[in-house]
Amino acid sequence: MTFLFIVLRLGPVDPIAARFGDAARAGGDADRMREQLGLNDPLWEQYLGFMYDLLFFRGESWVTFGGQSVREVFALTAPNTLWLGFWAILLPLFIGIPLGMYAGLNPNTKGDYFASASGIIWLSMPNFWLCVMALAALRQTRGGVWLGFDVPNITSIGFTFDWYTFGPTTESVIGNPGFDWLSVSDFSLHALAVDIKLILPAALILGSASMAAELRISRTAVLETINSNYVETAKAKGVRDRVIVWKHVFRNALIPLVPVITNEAFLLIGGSVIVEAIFNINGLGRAFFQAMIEGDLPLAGSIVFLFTVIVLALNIFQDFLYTIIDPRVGYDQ
Amino acid sequence: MSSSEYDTRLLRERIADNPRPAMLWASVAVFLVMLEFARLLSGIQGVVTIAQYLFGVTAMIPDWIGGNFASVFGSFVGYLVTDVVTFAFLFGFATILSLVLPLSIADRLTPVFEYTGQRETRRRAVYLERLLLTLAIGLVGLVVILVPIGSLSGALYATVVSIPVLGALLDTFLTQLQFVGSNLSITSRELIPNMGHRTPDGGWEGTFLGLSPAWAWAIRVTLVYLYAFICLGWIWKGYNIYRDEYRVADWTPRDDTIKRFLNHYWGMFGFIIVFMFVVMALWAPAVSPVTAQEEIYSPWDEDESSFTYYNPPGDPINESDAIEEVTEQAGEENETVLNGDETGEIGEQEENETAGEDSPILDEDEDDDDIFGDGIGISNGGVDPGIGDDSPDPTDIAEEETGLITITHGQANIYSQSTGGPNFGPFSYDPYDRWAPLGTTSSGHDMLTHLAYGSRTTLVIGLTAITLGGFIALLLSLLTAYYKGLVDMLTVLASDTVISIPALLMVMMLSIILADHSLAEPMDGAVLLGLIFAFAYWPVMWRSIRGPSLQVAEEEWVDAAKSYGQRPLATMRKHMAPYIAGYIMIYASLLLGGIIIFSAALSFLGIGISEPTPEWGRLIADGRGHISTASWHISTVPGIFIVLVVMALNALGDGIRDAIDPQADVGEDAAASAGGG
Repeated sequence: MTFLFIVLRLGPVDPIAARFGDAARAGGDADRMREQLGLNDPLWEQYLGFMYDLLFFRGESWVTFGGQSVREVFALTAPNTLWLGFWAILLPLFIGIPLGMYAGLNPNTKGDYFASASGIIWLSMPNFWLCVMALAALRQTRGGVWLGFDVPNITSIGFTFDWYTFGPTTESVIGNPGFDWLSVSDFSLHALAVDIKLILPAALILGSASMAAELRISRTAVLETINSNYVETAKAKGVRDRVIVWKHVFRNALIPLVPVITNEAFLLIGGSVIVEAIFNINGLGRAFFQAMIEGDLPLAGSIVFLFTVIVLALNIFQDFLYTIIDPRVGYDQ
Repeated sequence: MSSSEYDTRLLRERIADNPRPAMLWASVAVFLVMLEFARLLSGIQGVVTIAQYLFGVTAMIPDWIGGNFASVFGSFVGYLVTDVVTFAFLFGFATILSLVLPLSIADRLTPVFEYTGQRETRRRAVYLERLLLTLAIGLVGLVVILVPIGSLSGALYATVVSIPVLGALLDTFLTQLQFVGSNLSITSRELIPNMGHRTPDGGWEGTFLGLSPAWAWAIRVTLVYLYAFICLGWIWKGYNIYRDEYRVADWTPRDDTIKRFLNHYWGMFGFIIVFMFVVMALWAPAVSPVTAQEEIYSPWDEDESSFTYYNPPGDPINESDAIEEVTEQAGEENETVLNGDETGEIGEQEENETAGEDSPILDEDEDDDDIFGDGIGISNGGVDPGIGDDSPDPTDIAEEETGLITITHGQANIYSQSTGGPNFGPFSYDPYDRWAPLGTTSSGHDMLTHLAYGSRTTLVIGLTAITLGGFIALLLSLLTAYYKGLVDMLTVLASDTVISIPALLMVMMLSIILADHSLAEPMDGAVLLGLIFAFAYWPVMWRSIRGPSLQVAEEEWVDAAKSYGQRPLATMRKHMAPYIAGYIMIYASLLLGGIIIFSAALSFLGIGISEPTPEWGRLIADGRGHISTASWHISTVPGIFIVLVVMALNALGDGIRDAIDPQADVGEDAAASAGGG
């Protein structure tokens, strides 16, 4: 946190210049502004104030959200990021792990090679590039793009795909989820579907890296457990394959996956800045990006602090998860 | 290497005993170096420039620190601190120098000390040597600059001043050499030029053997890669010769490691791609059809970046209907670009161009008005360049002019932009018969030029970050594993502080905040970004090699070295570092992928590396608006390059991991973190 203060306050980014433009750095307005923001106070007072604001999220956005308090900004942007993060964690879990388990259960088959190779390629793709590509591809489908293939002279198999009318109709590929379905009085399935659809491409891309990592690790974990003695014993006892997979393999394979899943949060936080900027999602990441560029010291600091707190909390949560999944790990050694 | 239980002769002596294989190898190696002598020289010049810059920066540090102290504790303390820091710097420099210098006073001094019967003779001799060197450097500095003796910092200044002088001397020496060896580069653009122009009879002039630019370029690139792979093969051959003829031991564990790596196809694939990437970066001027100097840095310089193209004196436009169609769609866009962005720069050219619609100058071709309005026409003499491959039928040309026009790249680039409408995709010629192997960018530059020089940028960032971060991580892991205790705790605290802030956010924050710092000047921020990445990633690397280094510290041979009274630093260097270095390499190659993605992401967002230094991420950002048009290649191709290189780095990391320690359970987490961004 002190590091944050040093970097932000003593760094060369001038919030006044950001708000009024470079030319007005010395004018009377600028002076008044400086006074108002407390930039003329002694440094130690600024430091204490900064720390206090940071710890209790009491700061006030100077530039980006002109004058709104940090809490208001959070209330505005955090739901979008949470919604994005929720799907970005959920999707990879339900795509990556089953694929990895399939690859691990059928090692060295074509399916395994295909899953592993696509995982590796998927992992190497930069998120921002994927975003650009996905947006272009989805926008191309406006008016309908026919997917499928022709069997000459006999029949054609396929369907017309239009992302805009696929499922619930949306006006744009990008946008902010409205959260209309959250209201208690009239729960609307349609609004929920719209929100999901808006966030889906972004979440899929944001989760891409962790999806590939989950695939890889669940594959090795399954391979390891399936060759272990207890699985062999279970097989010898005549336990059915399905039971072996779910009871003995799956649960043990989950152990190395726990840190990967919690580490996802790390990736999501970094990645959300880029993905939100491209998909125009009004979330924390985009707020951070703008606050950074405009020299909005308290907001940027608060967002980084929030993220740091989340990361720390997740680390604790991860240790807690271990004790549930792996009974051998206890609180007391 | 130099000594062992069985054979205490030095390598030099062993070669002297059996010189034939070594001589054979060396002669071919010299021949290979000579082939690319000019390029090597320019590379050395580049290194000298970097060294000069580094010394300049280093020279500022003592005064800066001293100044800080002076502002708090008064000027006397400030001077004192400046002097102490200067002395420390000089001592460090002397230490490095004494390692590099061929003759060592310490070697001579040791017997003398032994003779007089003092203890720890070697150590004393080494320190004495370093101290003497420090004083010598300081004195030289003092004498050169003749500053008052009170301030030692003057000495450092002097040293620093004398180093650029040395550098300048070296520079002139190199230029002389280059004069001698200017033709000694088989891949030079002069030897295999690809910038030529058509001749009226349909052939090419100015290109290599009169081939088309495409072929000339292809031959040059093939030659570059052929040469690089031959060199690689020859280095491998040299290692084998060393192993078979000169190494004392028949077998070492490293042999097995290398064997495992060679049999690891996935890792080898990664290695080859990474190698090709590095070659592209090193030979960027040869790989790109137009050099960055001409195209990006000084496109309007008439001396440096003009070229000649052939403008068929007939009327080519009527022949090329296909082009006409394409250009018609783009009319409006191109017009706006001309009137908007480039107005200030093209000056007279632009005036003529906007006049094209009304055509006061070009009225000789009344029916071509719309074409000129489309911006394809060029008013130079009122005729249009031969467009693309659709050169006019040579028999139609009955003009007496030669049709040769000289133009700067900057002017030409205006009409070779890929902006959806006018599009010069991969494997095509632009209107000026410049070969664009990967198409042109939305500002009309050659794509491959940007990619090749961008790979240089990427390499600079990656290498700065990884070498610096890896070095810090290695040093700290050795120290913490050896001493444990307080050092360990402090390092854990520091690394946790850095780690707890999400890496991308921190890198973004620092690169925005330091954007105006003087460090951001070299390569428009690439070096600074490398430093920031080093700062952000050393804790990650330190964490991941902590386990292995703690294990090594517990080994018996380390204990044995301790009880023999070996100095801690020597123990770490000789008995611990070799084991940990392998692990560092695994993480380095995995993290390098992440760094490439992150730096591209930053420049995609418009922070980090600013123009004009080419960067892959900025290319993707440039092409974003045109991706659903005909100019889809602008964003797609750099993306594919990134995917390939990152994938190869991951593969390389896997390969190294499996080769070093097949049982190791490392790398998965780092691979995961490499993918973000």
